[in-house]
Amino acid sequence: MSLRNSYVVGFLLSIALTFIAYFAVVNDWFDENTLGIIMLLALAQFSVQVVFFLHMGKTSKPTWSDVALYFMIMVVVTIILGSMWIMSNLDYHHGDNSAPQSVEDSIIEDEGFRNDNSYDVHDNSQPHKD
Amino acid sequence: MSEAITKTQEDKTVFGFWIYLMTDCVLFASLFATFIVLRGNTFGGPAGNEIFSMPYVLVETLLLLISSFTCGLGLLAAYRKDKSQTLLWFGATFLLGLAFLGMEINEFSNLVSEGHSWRTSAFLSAFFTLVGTHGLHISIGLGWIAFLMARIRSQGITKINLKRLTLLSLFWHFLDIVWIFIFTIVFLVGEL
Repeated sequence: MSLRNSYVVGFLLSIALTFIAYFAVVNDWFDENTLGIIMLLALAQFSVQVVFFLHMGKTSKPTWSDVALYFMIMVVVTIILGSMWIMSNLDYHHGDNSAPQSVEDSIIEDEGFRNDNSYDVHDNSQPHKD
Repeated sequence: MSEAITKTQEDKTVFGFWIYLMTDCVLFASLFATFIVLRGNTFGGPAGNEIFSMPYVLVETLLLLISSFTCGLGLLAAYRKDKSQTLLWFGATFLLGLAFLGMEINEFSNLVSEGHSWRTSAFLSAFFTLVGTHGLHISIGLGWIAFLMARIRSQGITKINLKRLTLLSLFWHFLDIVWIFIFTIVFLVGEL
């Protein structure tokens, strides 16, 4: 494929992917699957632009530029998915700004778990520090 | 012609610039992570789907996509040593980029004048930081295009100017890729 055709094909594909993602959201084409589908469309768009606009991956052996790209993707995925994971776990254990006791209650309920060695959250007989 | 680009891409300068772009991706990744974590924290202020106009964002996206295409055509013209075509395509890229930036500044100033500034909520702070950082990159890119066009007009397409154009194209395509993720994660997901 000549470079000119590479740009033309890349351009048409990226315009098409943009419109599909846009109307999928605005017209609610896929109900609850929409989030997953537009994420896949964004990844497809990324691949299209890297291949057709940046001309990556055209050599038979990976170049140092390819290696840097793969490393960047690894770091980016770690930062974004890692942050989402850690912060949602923190949210879960912190609760909705409610009292610590009700958070603990909901976690015990949610995980079907009660540790008898720790103090009973329903036992109010323990002396309070205040 | 294909060989010419491959050969240039093996160039150390181009590789160094590529490494810079990859680290810039990490900068954007941390801003994306911040935005994703904070997007629900509206603190009584508006959520994304209450303040974003989707057709407006679609037009911005199309402007940037078309500018990425014209930028590629400009680079091909430069490899053919076709000075007037190079200036024409990069001129188009400049105008499209300027239109994009104008739309974004207009959107920002509308949000602020409606009282939805970055001080309203964690969500809006993260939004302005992420989208504003992209806008800053676009502004720098526009200055770079203007500078290179002036150079090419006076010096013609010399070897050094050709290398600079290659770097500029990488930068511009890269900004387009970052915008695709802003379009998807900020605007499309916000509208769900």
